[in-house]
Amino acid sequence: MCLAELEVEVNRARERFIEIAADFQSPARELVGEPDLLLAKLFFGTIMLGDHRPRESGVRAAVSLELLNRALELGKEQLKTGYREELLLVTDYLYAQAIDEVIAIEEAAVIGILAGAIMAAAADRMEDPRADHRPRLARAALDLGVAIGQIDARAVEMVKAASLRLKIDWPGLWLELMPEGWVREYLTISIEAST
Amino acid sequence: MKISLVKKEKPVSIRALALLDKFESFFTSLIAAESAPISVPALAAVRAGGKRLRPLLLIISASLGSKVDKGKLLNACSAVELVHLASLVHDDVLDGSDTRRGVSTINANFGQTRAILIGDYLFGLAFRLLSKEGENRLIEPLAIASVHLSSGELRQRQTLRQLDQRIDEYLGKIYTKTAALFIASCLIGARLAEVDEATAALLEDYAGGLGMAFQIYDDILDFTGDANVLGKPIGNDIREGTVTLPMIYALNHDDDYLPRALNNPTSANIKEAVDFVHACGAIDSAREKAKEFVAGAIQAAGDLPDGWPRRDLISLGNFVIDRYH
Repeated sequence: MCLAELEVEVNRARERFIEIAADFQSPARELVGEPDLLLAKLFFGTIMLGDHRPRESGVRAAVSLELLNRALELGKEQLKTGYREELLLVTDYLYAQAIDEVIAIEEAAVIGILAGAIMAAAADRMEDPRADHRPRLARAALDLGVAIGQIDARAVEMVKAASLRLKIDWPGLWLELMPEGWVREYLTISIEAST
Repeated sequence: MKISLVKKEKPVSIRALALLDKFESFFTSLIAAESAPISVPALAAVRAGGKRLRPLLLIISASLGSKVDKGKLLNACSAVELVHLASLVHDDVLDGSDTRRGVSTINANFGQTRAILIGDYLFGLAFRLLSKEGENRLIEPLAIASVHLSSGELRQRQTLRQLDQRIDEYLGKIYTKTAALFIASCLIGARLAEVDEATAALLEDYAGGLGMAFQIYDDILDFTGDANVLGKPIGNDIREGTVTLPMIYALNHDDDYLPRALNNPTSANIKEAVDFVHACGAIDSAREKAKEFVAGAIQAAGDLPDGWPRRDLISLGNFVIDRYH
């Protein structure tokens, strides 16, 4: 229940990301890069609000979020620079890998959250090609934390309220709806560092 | 809506066709319920027709069980067809195709960007739909197939115009590109039906064989089909640099036609290459290979419990041979 524990989990997610990416087909292997881990932090931060430590399933969920993030970043690059065959193929590959990564968790709700994020990000970009996908994935991170973690009912309500607010208030004010304490502080610092 | 070949020629039972009809209505309504930027282009693609083989395989496989929830069945059928549709939408962007089944593609009508995003959306929709059933065991085969599909596409693009491809490499590619989703369709059906492991394994063998044959026949059609029916010119694979089984067999002969056409796909070069592929017996060799796969599929189906699903699967296998001989 502390910062050190959270950072251990984030690092495990980073290591797993690098491990599976090393086995990716080229050019996905070359293009996937390194995860920026903000989503992993949001996810594990939510988990830390409770006492349950999902271990392997938590790492997989975090890795899946980071894979989706990379897929959407590559997609955004494609929208900016114009269609490139390589980028389309690799984003499709990363979407499939992201879904496959969480199959072992055996929780259909997890797939639903990730799939919903893919749909929402695509719909946002149809409206505005410059739309930032991070609020959608951040919301998925919080929702996954609620789905996988065992957080008390009050904290769940607060996280859900923050999650709903994310699209409107990215990166900022939705954090005020999260439970007060070291987790909220940590997430605030993490988001400020990445934006 | 264009009538699919399966509905026109009816190689399967009325029960299967009736369920397929129910699926068709459900699927159309599902897409129509999405917001206009998605539904308008996606519906046009759906209404262009298609054999709906994957949902059909799922329906027949699920019918091996005594009592399958219809709602789950329709959602599962929609999920496999959505993954297939998403892959076609992206394929059309990759190939720069203006038409598919004689209808303008999404990228032709709405641009590449919109087509890419619609493909992404449909992919997400497939998994969200299946997740609502709350059963990971139904999602797993589709997740595996999606990895295969995307992996196969990457490999295919990397091997364009490569003249030294072996038959086993080609077979590996078409497994990922086509057979994997056929297998997923049958496995999801098997899990809905709660059949035993031996039956599920037979369905997997059947679907794998049928999928491989189907793709080989599709690749043969690129040399033998009617351009008006295909909706694209003969020799399109040569034009795009996709090396298929007839070409691999033809390349075993000491000739220049294919290498020349693959490296310089003018109409004249393509025509010469197509003529050569016919003349050297490569088409017949490819057909024999396809028949081997169908024979394996029919053998697997033959070991299934007796009943109309078993008969339908065997009939479908024979249909694939007869239709594309």
